[in-house]
Amino acid sequence: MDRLLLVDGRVHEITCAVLADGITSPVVDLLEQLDAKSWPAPGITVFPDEYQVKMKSRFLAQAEHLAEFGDLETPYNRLEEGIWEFKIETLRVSFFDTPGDGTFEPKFGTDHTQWDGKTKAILPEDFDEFIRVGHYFPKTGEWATQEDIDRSIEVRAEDLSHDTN
Amino acid sequence: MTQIEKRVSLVDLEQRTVEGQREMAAARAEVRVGHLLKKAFRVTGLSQKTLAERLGVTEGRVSQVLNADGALRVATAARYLRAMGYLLELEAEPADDGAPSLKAKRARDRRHKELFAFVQSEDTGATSNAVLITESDSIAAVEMAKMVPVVDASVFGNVRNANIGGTHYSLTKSPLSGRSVS
Repeated sequence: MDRLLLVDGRVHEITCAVLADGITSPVVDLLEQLDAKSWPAPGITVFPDEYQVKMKSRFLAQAEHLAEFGDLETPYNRLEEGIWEFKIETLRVSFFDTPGDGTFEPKFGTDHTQWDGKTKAILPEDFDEFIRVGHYFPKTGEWATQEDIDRSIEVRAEDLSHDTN
Repeated sequence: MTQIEKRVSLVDLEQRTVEGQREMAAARAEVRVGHLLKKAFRVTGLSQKTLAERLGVTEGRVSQVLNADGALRVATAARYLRAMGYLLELEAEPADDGAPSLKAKRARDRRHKELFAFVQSEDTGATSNAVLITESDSIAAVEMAKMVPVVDASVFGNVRNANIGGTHYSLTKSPLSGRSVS
C-alpha cells in the first residue's frame, strides 16, 4: 500500500492512512483543501482563507517534531483506544501507531497532574515506528465528539487491513 | 547501475518553493519554542502563580504565553524559560547553497590567551618562546607551568608535547609570542 509520506524522521515515519477502498486518504483530502485555502474551518465565512497556508505548515511541523524527536508538547489530546489527535487551531487530526504488520497495541501514555489539578495525558515514549494520520475534523466543542472518535478508530482498522492482505 | 530512490516526503516537497521554505521555517520555530516552554513548565512543576510572580506579570498573561504555542517574541520566550531555570540559545544554520556560515571565524576562546606562558629549562636556564598549554584543565596547567620548570628541554623546538611537573601537556608555539602569564 502506497501511503503519502508526510515525514521520514529519525524516530518515526509518519504517513497518511488509507481507507478500505485502497484509494481514499482523508488527510490527503484535507491537505488539498488547505492548499486551496478552502477547508470549511469553524467560524470562517470568507474564502480563500489565507491563514490555512500557515495551518498546513503548522500541522507538518508538529508531525515533523514528533517524527524527529519522538516527543511533542505542543497541542495534542489522547482520544480513545490508543488514538491521539494533533490540535492545530480549530483543526483536529487523529493519529495512531503501528509496527507496520497490520497490528496495533493501543498506547495511552502517562497521566500528568498539572499545577491546577487537571490531568494531562503525556504522549507515550514507546510509540511503534510507524505513525499514521487518519481522520480529521473541526473543533466544535471542548471535547471531540464520540462520532469523530469512532470514525478515527474505524479509519485505523481500514488502514491496517491493507497491511495484512 | 541500480539506484535506490529515497521516498520524498511532503515536508521535503513543501520546501521546494520559497514560500514553503519560509512557512515551514516559521512553523518549526513556533513548534520548537512552544515545545520548550510547555516542557519546561511541566517538568519543573511550577504553578502559573509562581511563574507569574517570578516574571512580575499576571497569571492570565502566563496562561496566554504558555498557550500561544510558540507564536510569541523571542525575548518573551527567553524570559519565561529563564524564569523556569533554562537558557534559550539560538542558532542559524546555512540552508541555501552559498549562504555563508554565521558562526564567528575566530573560534579561539579569549580566556585561552591567559594560557600563553614562558617556561624555563632546569638544565640550561634558557627561557622558551611563549607556549600555549592546551590541556583541558587550563588553570591548573598554568599554575603548574609557573611553579614547576619544564623538565623536557625539547620544548624549545617545534614540539607539541612536554612533561611539566610530571604531567603531560600538549604545547604549541604562541602566535602571540611574547605574551606571558605573570
